[in-house]
Amino acid sequence: MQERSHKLSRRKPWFRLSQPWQLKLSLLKTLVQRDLEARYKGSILGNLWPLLNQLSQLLIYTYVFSIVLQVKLDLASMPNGNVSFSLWLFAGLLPWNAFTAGLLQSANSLVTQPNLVKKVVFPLRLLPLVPICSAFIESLMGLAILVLLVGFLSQDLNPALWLLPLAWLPQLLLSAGLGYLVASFTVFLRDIPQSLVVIVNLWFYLTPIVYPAHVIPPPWQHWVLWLNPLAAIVETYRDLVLVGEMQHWGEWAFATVLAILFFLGGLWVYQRLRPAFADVL
Amino acid sequence: MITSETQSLAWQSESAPQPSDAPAIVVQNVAKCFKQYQHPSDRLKELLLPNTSKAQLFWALQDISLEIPRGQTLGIVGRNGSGKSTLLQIIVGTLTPTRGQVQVNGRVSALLELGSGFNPEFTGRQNVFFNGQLMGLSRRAITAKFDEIAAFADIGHFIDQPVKTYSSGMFVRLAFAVATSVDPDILIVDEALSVGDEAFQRKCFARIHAIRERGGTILFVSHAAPTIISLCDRAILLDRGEMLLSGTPKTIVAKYQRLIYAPPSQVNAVRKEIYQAKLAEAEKVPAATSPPGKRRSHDSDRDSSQDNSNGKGQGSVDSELASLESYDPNLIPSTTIAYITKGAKIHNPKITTLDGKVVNHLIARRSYIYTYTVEFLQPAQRIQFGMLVKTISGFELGGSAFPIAPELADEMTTGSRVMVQFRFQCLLQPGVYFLNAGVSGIIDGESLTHLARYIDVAMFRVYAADDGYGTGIVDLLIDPTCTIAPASAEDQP
Repeated sequence: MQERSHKLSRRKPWFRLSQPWQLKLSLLKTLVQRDLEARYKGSILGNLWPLLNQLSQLLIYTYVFSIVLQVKLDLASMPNGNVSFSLWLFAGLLPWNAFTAGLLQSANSLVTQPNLVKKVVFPLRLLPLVPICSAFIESLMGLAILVLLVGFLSQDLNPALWLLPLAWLPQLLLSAGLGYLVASFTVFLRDIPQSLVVIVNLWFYLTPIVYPAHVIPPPWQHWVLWLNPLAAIVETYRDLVLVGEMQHWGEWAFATVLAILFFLGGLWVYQRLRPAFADVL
Repeated sequence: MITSETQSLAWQSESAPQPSDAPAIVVQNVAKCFKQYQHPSDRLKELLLPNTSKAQLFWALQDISLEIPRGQTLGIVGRNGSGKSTLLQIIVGTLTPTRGQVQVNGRVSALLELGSGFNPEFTGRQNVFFNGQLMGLSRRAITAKFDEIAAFADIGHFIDQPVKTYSSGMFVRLAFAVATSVDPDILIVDEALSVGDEAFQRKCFARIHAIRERGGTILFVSHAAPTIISLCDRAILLDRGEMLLSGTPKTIVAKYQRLIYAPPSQVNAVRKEIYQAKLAEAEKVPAATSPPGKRRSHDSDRDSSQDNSNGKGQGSVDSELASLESYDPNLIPSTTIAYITKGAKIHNPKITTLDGKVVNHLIARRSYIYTYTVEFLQPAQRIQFGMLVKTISGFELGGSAFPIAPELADEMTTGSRVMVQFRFQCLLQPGVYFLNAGVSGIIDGESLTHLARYIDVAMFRVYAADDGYGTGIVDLLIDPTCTIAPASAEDQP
């Protein structure tokens, strides 16, 4: 009752979610906050840990690839130097790590919380989304480091950074769709999380992350870039952060369509299997 | 399939107002089948490709139909595994019925398991907010209620400590406080209140009463017969997934207790009997359901039964009480121990009415005779006979040990038999009680010793003679009155 009167007294904004949706959104926010908090609960550095993790990764790559192996890579927008390969690698790893960490954890999101599934009535659809959002938020810290470094080295912040949400769209939709799929299957098949680890490992080398896409033999190149939405996402990240210009519109559009299909399919399967979750867990 | 509907209920604070005469809960032909698979993946196959079932079926609920009017408090009793929790989970919406429909009108708060949404790493405060949000409250609404919740839980500064540091009592307090803080239209309580200390239980019941007074509908599962009788307007008896009977709490609880004390070999017979009673009942004109808000403690039969304190008779015995006073062959202790048999044996311990009818269902405040026969196996002197009444937990309530009547021979010879009778008034609150029997005396010229001592030779159940304002174990024949007190300056707080 209180909420309603408050709502009336407020000026109506141009866009307003219906109240159930607002509640769901704020619950998702709380769930993600809890997830992030719980991860570093009791540690002294707390939420600095994801930042330190990302930073240490970047330092290791710089040491191994730029100082020890001295891999060179020419990037149009960057001053020619030894660090560019490690930045390029890091830019590719950011979406990949967010994707895999979110996916692997969402596979377990239902089976590790049977209480929430069986004893509490609440929108169960939110559960697999929680680890995906958490992983994404952690990757944003790495992204911030990357953007700052690139800006520092090139003495310029490229305007293409505003387009980053375009890369996030297929990334999040794909993660959520696959997350729904693996979370619901894991309820019935506990082998899913283990097999996911294997699949993700194979997938990693099928995606041009540690090697540039143009070194793939030409007949294969096309297939990899178009059929692997992750390849398109990784390329989009690099385009926007390092190149400063979107060079893979086609691949991006196709990946987004694929991601939407995966999302709808995953959600459909999840909703179909949902009534049985409580019976099995 | 209604689940999405039920699910969203807690999640729709703007749900369309229901007509006020619509029942709070309607359950129609609900059945729940759990499928048991050799391998969990078979279930996945079946869900995605129907008609390829490899499952063994287990029907946890069969054809349950139930209509709970707004404002009614319904008790659900049944043995373990009878489907009580499954039914509640289906009504709440965490389980989906295999068949049938459930319609729930109003905001539901379920205490299926206290604190299931709690995370032990977080503080009480954080968990209150999280649980409130799980139940569909906005953060603002929870903030407004927080002080009330904290006051009810009454755990002091622990509210800002991680929940893992709580004692189980504190945990329960907080969980209950949160669950009932949402002002539910329908409260569902699943045996959750058996935890927590007495004082807190009373507080919980006070809150449940408050929800009831406000016109809330309550579903209540408990094994505690007095709670069901005192709290509920109606009760149902579930057994093996079937609804055996629905009726007044008193009759349901009586049938239920017959069922639980039946030895395994007779369970089926008892079930059949209850079932037939139900069919017979159905042939009669269906009794009008008592309107919501009517409280059992004001039933009209209270006055007629109250004057029966002096045993049977007086012609005012109402038929319900008369039928309660009976012998249940299944109500026999499984814990009988012949503690000592050294020179005497005790035969045939039983309770009879003053007319000599053998009973083990007793009506409070009436008089009965506890009797047994002693057979002496060798000569004995200075004989004393004893009895003792105990609670289920073994607490000794009262007894007697009296010397053999002087007109009988002081010395018993081998093979002589004595019938002992203890007349007593059943000044006990409703419940189950156990009896001991014993004989002591001197044999072989030794000192006074037990000749025979039997623990739990008989048990009996006591029913309230009225609608029972009494509490505790012993009925002190309290006669409460109250009048308006004149104002007085001497009043001390």
